[in-house]
Amino acid sequence: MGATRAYAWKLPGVSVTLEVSAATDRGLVRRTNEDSHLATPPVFLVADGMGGHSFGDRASQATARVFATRLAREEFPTIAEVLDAVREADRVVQTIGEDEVAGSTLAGLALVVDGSSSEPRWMVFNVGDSRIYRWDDGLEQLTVDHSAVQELLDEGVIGPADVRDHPERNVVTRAIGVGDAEPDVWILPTGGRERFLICSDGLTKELDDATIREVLNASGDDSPADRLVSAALAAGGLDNVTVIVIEAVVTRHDAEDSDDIGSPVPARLEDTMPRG
Amino acid sequence: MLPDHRYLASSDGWIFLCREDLVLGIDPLAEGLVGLLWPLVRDGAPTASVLDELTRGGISSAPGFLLLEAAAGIWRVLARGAGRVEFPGLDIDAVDGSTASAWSESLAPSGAVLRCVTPGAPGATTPWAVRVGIVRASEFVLGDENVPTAGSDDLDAGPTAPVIEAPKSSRSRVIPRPPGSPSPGEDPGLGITISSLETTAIEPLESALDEAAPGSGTEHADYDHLFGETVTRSVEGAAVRGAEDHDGGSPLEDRTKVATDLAERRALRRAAKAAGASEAPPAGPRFTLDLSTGGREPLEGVVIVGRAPSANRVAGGEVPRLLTMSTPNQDISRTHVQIALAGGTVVVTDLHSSNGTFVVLPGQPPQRLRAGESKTVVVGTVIDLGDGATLTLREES
Repeated sequence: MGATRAYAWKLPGVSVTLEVSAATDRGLVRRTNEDSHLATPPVFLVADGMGGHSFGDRASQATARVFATRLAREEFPTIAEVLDAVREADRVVQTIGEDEVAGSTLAGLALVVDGSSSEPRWMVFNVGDSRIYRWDDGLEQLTVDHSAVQELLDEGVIGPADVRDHPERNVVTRAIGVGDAEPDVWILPTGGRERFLICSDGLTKELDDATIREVLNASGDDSPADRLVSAALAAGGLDNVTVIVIEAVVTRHDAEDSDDIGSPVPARLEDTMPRG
Repeated sequence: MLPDHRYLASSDGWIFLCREDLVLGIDPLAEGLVGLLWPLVRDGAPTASVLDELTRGGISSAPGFLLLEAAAGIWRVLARGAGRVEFPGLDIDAVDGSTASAWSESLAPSGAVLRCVTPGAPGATTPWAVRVGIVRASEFVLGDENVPTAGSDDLDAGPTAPVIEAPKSSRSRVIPRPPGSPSPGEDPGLGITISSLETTAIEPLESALDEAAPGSGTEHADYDHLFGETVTRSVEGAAVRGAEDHDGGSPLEDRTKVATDLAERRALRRAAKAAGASEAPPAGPRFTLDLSTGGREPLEGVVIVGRAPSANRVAGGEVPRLLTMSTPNQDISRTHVQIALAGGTVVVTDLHSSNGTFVVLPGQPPQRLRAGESKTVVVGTVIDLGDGATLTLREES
């Protein structure tokens, strides 16, 4: 279902290529899929809806739709535009469900530009417990969940081993549509080859980091996103599961010969050594 | 409702198959495909399925085509071969099939006018309307617009057409890999899963819950697990949950309590926001930073400077501005120094840079900031990151 798609941009002084795969499944137990996602460069997001009746899927769809309408275009958005979209999604979802609360998580990744600089950067933003990982040799979780369990972890009340079966593990403390959709934001430099994974908690509740890494590093005819969703279903598929995998190569070259895509800059230059 | 499509009939034009939200134009050389493609177009197949049919024999043998579909508030436009799609009135480059080895692809807002232009002799000069059907045309126009005439390149966009800016220098080119087979009902490009389409045979979740744990509130943690459902609740709500569970209320009632809690928070937030909105932002001097690498940056809020700076886990309302400085030896740290304007005061903070930060106040010797150290500075101060990279604080006159 989620074939890998390739995209390329050529901007003054920099070229960007992306390979993207996305997959979602309602799981083996739930009757509806309340997850939505958007995998249209330069914006990627996973939204996991919550609320009774059909409010959950409406909430996550509305969230994805706001971003699709505002930001699915060729031009990289600014950070402010992405934040505006988060606020707009919060406003729109608040109108769903009236007295009954509808809400959605939001884990997003966007290529953004900032003010006068044309330099593309990664913007990572999250509300709730959907996650973004950077996947290199290891798997590094970039986002920090807004969840009751995360707060208990931070306070040292419980340990990592207690998370999986904790009764509050499905309780989020921030959500789109509840009126406190202040996202946490990371702005990261682009450069070289970088790989990201965006997922709903239906993936991370079924598969631990080691398994996710193993599935990502395996090869096969299926796209990486399809492989992860299949693995989550095989592990139980108790919740909706949605995955987007993004492989990016950002290459800088002199603005003068912008037609020439130079060789990639050394990936992740190490920090400078102190001057002698 | 989408407006009628209009076309300029031409006996040697491309063949256009259309419904309200999807239009497919194909090169007449592939006339034999019409019989296969028409049921897909007529019966609501998504772009992905139409594309699968077009590329059945592989991309290199696929005919020239123009494929336009409206979904989720935007038009998705694909062009292969000699046809192209123009967006009169919008600053979006035409999607030209002849420039791509596979096909060209672009997006346009839902209010846009899309004009499909195909090679061949000019056709009729009077446009006719069509919503669903098959026509041969030299031009085929979608979206709100006055009268399309062949060769008029300066059509006004309809009043509903939003202006979106696309950088003239950039052009996204989508080069799909040999296409997989996206499942029907899924738009692989947009990736929005419209799960409400699955609403057949959905029972209310609550009734399922009641069956799973009749009348018992204490067990509901167990089927939370079963359903793996995400719920939202304040931490306070989570803390008092144990007590609620012993009220003897049904799970449904328990959920309602949660909802009430959040509804109250909604109201509080709105009230707080309304109160906060009346505060005027403090007026103060406006500062800029003159860069040794050329250029001038406004200083508003927080600026982080470095070779490849990053900002980690900041609140959405406090995202700093990142400033990349390239130096000859790449000798400054990736994230080197922070310069913050707060309450009319400018504070420089070294961000544990490898080589440190020097601050030169006017008329004073350079001072080295220790790793993580902050210093308040005044107009005229030079902030030196080493390797020739400096920023000078100026007040805007």
